[in-house]
Amino acid sequence: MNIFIFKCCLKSMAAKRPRAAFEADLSHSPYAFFGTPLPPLEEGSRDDGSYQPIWKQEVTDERGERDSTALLPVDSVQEGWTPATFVSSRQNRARDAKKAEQRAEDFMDEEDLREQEESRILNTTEGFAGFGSTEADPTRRAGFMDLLKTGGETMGVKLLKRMGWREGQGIGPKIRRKADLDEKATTGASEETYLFAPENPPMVAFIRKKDHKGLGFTGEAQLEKPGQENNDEEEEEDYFFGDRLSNKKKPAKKSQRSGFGVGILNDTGSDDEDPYSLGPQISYNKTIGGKKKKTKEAKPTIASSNPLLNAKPVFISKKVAAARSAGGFRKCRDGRLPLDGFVLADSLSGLSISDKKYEPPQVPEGWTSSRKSTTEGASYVSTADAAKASTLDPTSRAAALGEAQLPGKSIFDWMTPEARERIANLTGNKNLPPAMSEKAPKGFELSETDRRRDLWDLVPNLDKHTAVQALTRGVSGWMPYSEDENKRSRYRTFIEIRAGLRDTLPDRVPGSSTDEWVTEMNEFARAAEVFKPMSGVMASRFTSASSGPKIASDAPDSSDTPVSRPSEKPDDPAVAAAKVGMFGQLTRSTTTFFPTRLLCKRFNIKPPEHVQLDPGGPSGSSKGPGTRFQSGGYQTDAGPKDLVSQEVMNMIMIESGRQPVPSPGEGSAQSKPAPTPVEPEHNEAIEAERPGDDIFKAIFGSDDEDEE
Amino acid sequence: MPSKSFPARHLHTLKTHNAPVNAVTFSSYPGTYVLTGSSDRAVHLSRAVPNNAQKSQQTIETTSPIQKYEAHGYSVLDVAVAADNARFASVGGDRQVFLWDVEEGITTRRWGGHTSRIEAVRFAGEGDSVVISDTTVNLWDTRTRDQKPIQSLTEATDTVSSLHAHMPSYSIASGSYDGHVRVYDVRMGKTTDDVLAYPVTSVRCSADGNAILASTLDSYIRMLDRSNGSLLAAFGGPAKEKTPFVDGTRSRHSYRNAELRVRSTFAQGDAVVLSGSEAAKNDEEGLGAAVFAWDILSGETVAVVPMGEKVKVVSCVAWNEKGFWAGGCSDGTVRVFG
Repeated sequence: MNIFIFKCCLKSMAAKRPRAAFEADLSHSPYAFFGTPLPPLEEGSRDDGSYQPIWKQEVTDERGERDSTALLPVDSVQEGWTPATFVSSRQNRARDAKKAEQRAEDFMDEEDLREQEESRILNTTEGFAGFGSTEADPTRRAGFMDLLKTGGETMGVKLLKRMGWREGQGIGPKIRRKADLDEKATTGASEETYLFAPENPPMVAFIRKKDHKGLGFTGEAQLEKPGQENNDEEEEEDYFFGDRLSNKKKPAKKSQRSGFGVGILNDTGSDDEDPYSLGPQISYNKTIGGKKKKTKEAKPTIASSNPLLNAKPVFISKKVAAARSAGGFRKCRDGRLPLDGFVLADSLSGLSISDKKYEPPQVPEGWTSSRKSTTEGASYVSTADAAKASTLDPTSRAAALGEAQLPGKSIFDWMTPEARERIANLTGNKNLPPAMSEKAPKGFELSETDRRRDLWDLVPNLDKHTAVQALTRGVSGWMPYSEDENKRSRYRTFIEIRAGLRDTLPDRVPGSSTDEWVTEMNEFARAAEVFKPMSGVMASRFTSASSGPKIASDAPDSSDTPVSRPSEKPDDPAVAAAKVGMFGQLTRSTTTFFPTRLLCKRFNIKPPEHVQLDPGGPSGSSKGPGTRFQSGGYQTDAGPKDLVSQEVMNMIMIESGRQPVPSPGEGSAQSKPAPTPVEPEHNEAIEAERPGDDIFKAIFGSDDEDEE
Repeated sequence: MPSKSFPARHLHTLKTHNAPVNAVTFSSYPGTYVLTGSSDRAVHLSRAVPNNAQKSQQTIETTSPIQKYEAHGYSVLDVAVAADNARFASVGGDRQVFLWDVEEGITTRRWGGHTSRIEAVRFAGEGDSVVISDTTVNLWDTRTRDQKPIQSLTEATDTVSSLHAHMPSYSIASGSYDGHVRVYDVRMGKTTDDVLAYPVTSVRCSADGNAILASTLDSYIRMLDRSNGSLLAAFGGPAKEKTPFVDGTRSRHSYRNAELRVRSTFAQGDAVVLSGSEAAKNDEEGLGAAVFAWDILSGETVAVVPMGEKVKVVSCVAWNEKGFWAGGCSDGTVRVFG
């Protein structure tokens, strides 16, 4: 009640200060407001009795160790419990890690501890006599093996030796007995007796029974950690001595830090321990008779000088290896020292044989040979060099030798300078003999006919069939070189000759050289190949890819054979024509372009009619023929019709076994001129009727699909 | 017009770029400024002819531009200026089209969607839609914020190297490395496709729209009739014996365009064809590249203007109707003549 009043007073007194600020100042209880406050129990901690959850609280026993046996902080602990302040494990991780290492003593009560103390025996380690605990440093021991003897004489041994005792002898007065030789000797043994030192009796030691377990119980051996099994071996060997000789304190089993009990997650996976078993863990030797098979191999002897002999590779640091190899001598592979007078090959590198030993003798200063080189002065000249140096050519050599001049002449003597230049360019030889351009000797000059024949050889070959087709193409309305009438006529002459209609040499441009003439003829030949239409059978089967618009526009007269019209330029001839240089009809193709409405809007123009009516694209085949714009580009410029005279054409046709082409007067659709300009609104060509079904049949061949 | 001599006095050298200049464009009328796009990823705005250049006998050099436009991550390959001089567009190796505000120097629009580097850009439709190329020619709308092109023209089978929009005939001409020149007539809804067989590096329409000038990698510049595709004239061609005479002196330069994208243009009111050139293949004489000008009617070489020994290529030329022309050189300089 009093406290409550005080609290109220305090509150009213400190009304100006917020409570939070007030409490923050206090590192002690907020209720100690008179006198000097007690110092906090722990530095930096705040003992204000604030609540701490159970999981944060830690119970310690009187040694300050955490008591894991206690489940909950209870008052029964001697000084009560002090709630440990929470310290961040982050900062004190190292301390925590130390704590995590728990000893067996942590889990023992007083009785256990006393028992443990009693069982402790004070003795020295084996290595005491040598260099301290050498077991920890076996390699070092191996290094000094030859220098120091381990386990030297103890004082007792020294005293015994002074008294005449030798190693291997038993202790006690000498015994008179017969010499104990081999069995043979015993059979024919004399009765002489000698004084012998007593035999060394085996040391008998009894295991002290210090626990209350049954006789022969070896359960504790099972509790050994697997890592310590090597010690087991020694124990097995002298089990008789029991663990009295076990000088090493076995490290306590490292227990896992855990909360209450052992979770299944903490299971180490070993079958031996049952985390849920109750009571003391007693395990018996479950095998009857015979020892448990030791899987572990014998520990390699430390003293082995060669680690390679060990079954298991052992890491030897460089330092150790250096220490081992030090000492002036090295051992062979098999661990033995090399034979006397021999040096290990490895160390030979230091003993290199000096190069100075067999050096040639020094030539004395100022010594000159009494012999002279005979070839001195005259430099050697090879035959080839001498030949090169000569300025004579075969003719002058012949003259020098007085030989009769040979009648033969070089080919260059007849060559024209241009031809020689060409050869020089081709071969890269600039020093060819000069061209004389001599005429052929009398009587061997080419006759006029021969010359003509040679000229004929220059006319490029063209397949007769191709030439006929090219001519046909010309008849059907188109022929290249429309821009140059003379050239066109030359072209026509050329294909007529190659079609077999003429015998004369092809025309040539007045004033042009033979080379130019040949070049032009080659061009004509290529052009004829390009213009060659597809052969009739194939042409009737196939039509060009742009057949959609063509069918409507392409058949002005369906009774004729409209599909025999050569297909519009495939790509290859266009490229070929462009390479030849014939731009225009062949290289030009026109397709429909569908600008989007927005584009037309941005261009501020009315969209083209086909776009207006059919904005979806060129698919509207259901539209009337007049509504669609179609390019009629090729109809605008039909060439002159009379490229080849009609009679000539008919003759060709008769020759090739075809019907004569009807004359333009007969109303052939193909030769009909169509010079009308392109009108997007109205086009004669596209207003034509759909061609008859027989055309489609002719194209596609089957009646079945003809369901439209 | 053709009687007038071709202006070949070197007025001004712009040394603002430090990488080959890929694009040169005069600003729209009156063409006071010149925009240059270079492999150094920047577009520079410079004065085409300084005020005192006309009077001084010396060639003036400028090393810093008026404005630098830097946003491209790769080399700038083409620049186009809008008619009102307020905006310009640039394209380059970063597959993007940038629309710039000239005064503020920032990009107002960026369009992606191209799959390879873009080599040509043009304004069309009263500075409305930007025409871009790639393997597809994409038409972008500058008025809406739409990120999709108005239309894609996908006929070309290789990169479109050059574009020209001829607004009087409402058509767009494109030249591609597949060897075709395609003219899209928007009003007529018609595409004409002319095969040139060799990769096309430059396409221009004449002012009246009746002829197309196309440069190809066979070292020819051909002028085609737009109506039927026939050849009107051919300029250049492989080095011939009859080297052109200029001012009575025999020029040792010969036109060559075999490897690089070299642009050509009409000049002097469509009376002259102007083109950059590559240097000779093995330039033993150290002549460097030159700019060539041909008379359209006669086909004769009007002028050969050497650009110096170090210049291997004059990749782009631009003509300004005030009588100036500029050539963008591979050494990063832009030279203005007048």
